Formats: sequence, C-alpha cells, structure tokens
Amino acid sequence: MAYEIKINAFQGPFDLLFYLIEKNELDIYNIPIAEITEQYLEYLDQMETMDLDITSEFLVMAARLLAIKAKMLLPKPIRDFDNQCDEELDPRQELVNQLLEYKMFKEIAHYLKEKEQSSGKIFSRAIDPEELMEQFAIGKNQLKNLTLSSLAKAFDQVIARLEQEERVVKIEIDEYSIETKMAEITKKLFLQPNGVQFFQLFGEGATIKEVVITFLALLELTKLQQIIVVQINPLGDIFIFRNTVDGRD
Amino acid sequence: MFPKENKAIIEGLLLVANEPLSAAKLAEILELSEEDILELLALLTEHYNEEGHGFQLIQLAGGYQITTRAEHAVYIEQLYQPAPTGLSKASLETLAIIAYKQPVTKSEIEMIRGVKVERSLSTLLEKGLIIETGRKEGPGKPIIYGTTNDFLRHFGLASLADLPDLNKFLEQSQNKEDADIEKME
Repeated sequence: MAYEIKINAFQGPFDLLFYLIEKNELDIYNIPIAEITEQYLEYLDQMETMDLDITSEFLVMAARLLAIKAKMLLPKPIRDFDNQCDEELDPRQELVNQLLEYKMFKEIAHYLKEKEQSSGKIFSRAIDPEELMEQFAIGKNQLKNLTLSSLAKAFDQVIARLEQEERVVKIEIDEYSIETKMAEITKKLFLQPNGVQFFQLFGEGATIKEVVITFLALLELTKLQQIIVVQINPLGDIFIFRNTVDGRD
Repeated sequence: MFPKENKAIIEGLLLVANEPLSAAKLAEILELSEEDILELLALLTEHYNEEGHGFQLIQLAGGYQITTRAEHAVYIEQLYQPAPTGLSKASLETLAIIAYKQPVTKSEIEMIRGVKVERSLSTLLEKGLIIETGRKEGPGKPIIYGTTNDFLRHFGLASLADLPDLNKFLEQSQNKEDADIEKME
C-alpha cells in the first residue's frame, strides 16, 4: 500500500480525524470505526517516523478510538420485554457530537477571519498612550509626582466620603479578594485605555473593606509594573494607566 | 429644531475620541436626552452618506465612531500602514469558542478543540481581545474568560448580539456534511 507522505502538521486529533474522514469520503454520521482507527494509528506511526511531535492528545484519542471499536465489537445486551431501556447508545455518538461541535466552531472562526479582514478596511484615529503621557509632561520616571503621602491622602478622602454617606447596613458575603480586584482594575483599564481615575475605581455603595482591597490591589499592580499611576497636580486626581511602555523588565 | 451647533459638537467629539462613544456619554456631555442624540446621530449618518463624504458614522462596540470607508482602504493603506494583526487559525478557533460560550474556562475550551489552548489564550490576552472575568466555583476555581470591547472593534461588531446565531453555523456545517454525503451517492 502506498502511503501519501504528507507533511501535515495537524493541530490536534480532531483535525487528523477530519482529514481522514474527508480523504476517505466517510459519512460522519456512520463512521466505519475499524477503518478509521487503523488509518489513525498508521498516521501516528508515520508521524513518529518523521520525528513529528505526537502530543498526548493524539495518544488519548488513539486510546479512545480503540475503546469505541472494542465496544462496537461486543455483542449487544439482551433486553427483557419489560425492561425499559433508552435507545441504544452508539459508542461513536459522543465522538461524533464533539467532531460536529468543533467543526461548527471552525466555521465561526472562518467567519471571524472574514470580519477581521473587512473591518481592517476601515480606519479611525488611534491614540498612542505614550503620546498621551507626553502631553501630561511625565518622563520616564512615572512616579515622579506621586508620593506615598499623596496616595494616602487620596485614600483618606475616599474613606471620608464614604463615612459621610448614609448606608443601609447589610451583611453580605464578602466577594472581594485582592486578585479579584486586580483583575477588575485590569479589565477597566482595557476598556478605558485613556486612563481611569482613582475615584472611579470605587462604586457608590463601596464598603470600607472594598476600598482597602482596591487600594492594595493597586499597590500590587504597581509593584508588578502592570500599571502606571500618575498625578499631575499635588492633591489632584490620580490617573491609572495600563503599563504598555517598554522597560517592563 | 436643534441648534445646528449640537450636530457640530457631536462631530467634534467623535473626531477626537479614539474609541466609540456611547449615546449615553454623548447625551451626558451635551446635556440632551438620548433620543435627541440618536436622532442627531441618524442625521449625521445620513448626511455623510448622501453627500458622499469620505467618512462614515457607524456603530461599533456599543458606541458610535467616525471611520473611513472600506472602498478607500487601498489609499489609506499607503499613508498609514496598519500592523497586520491577522490571527492564526488556532487563535481564531479559541476566540470563536470564547465569543459564543463566555464565560468559559480553559479546560472547557480544550474539550471542544481537542488540544491545549495555553498559547492561543496568551496571544488573545496580549492583544486585549479576551480577558479574565473571574473564577468559576468548584474544584480548582478555574479562571473564566470573556471577550472585550476591543474584540468587538477588531471584528467590526456593534455588540455581541451582532454575532450570527449559532444555529446558522450548525446548519452550515451540517449542510456541508450532507453535501459531501450526497456527492458520494
């Protein structure tokens, strides 16, 4: 038997299966499991000979195919007349469903690619965060105008503001952790690349605990150099930006 | 009806904004109602289209933005080389899954694609097309992902609702299968 030695780097087992199904013009709803298992294993052998990397997913799928094949070879269980049984489960069904679902997402990916290309044809102004920072006359030393005391003062202001408001006392399950807040802040910064004001980070109903955790999250993100904190006027607003400037390491 | 200035002000705002502005935001700045804003936006859109202007007013990522027209891309590209941001097939597939199934965990994505998605996830995170939106309850508290506004902009979508119905794709892939089967008979 002559094999087509195709240097096909399949992303994963599904891609290989699709290739085999297409190549053999198989009906996906009625896959001849013995045949496809054999070809699949032959292909893995070829990959090995060509020194291609066979990741574990390929091997797991091989095992799966063999298991399905074995199940199909077993005699069907004898049913009693009064035994209420569901339709026989085709051992291939789960695999077929997965293949179909994956195929659907490949179509969606294709659709997205087309959308990407067509929207690549329209342009709008893009702001460069570096330019923006230059407008604020901040140099490489991002923390130049910011001292610990100004951060602390801003923090005090928030707490003072909170204490002035009347709040209904409600005992809630604590939803906040520093990591959650860090993720929230990062998300906000993605959505607002122009910067987020310190005070915007706190909602109206913020508890003192939330404020403290947000503050700690900010310090942590600054330490990790994922954000830049800028204050133009002393005692003024503090702006937070995502750190996209080089020199992170 | 409206002082002509309002239309002009909206134009100015849209011009300097570097991201889509929502009707609500415009309403806030101009101190008008959202309905009034929408009406003005519709007038501007019509005006640009009828007078054959080189720019258009479109809905993108939950807001409005002034952009150039697709027909002129070939000229604009000579001035301003956009970075080729073409995503790989793998990243696109991962992104497709996240877009439709969000919030979704890494292992759920891997189940569908049948491969590890670590690399696609980092690429997509780096490009700001997806984001970690929290953690799922349960063992290991795995991270869950969702798409961002940048995702909508990158693909020219006004909102997630703009994504075609899943069923359309289901039919499409099933039709392809049926067509293949028919070919054999």
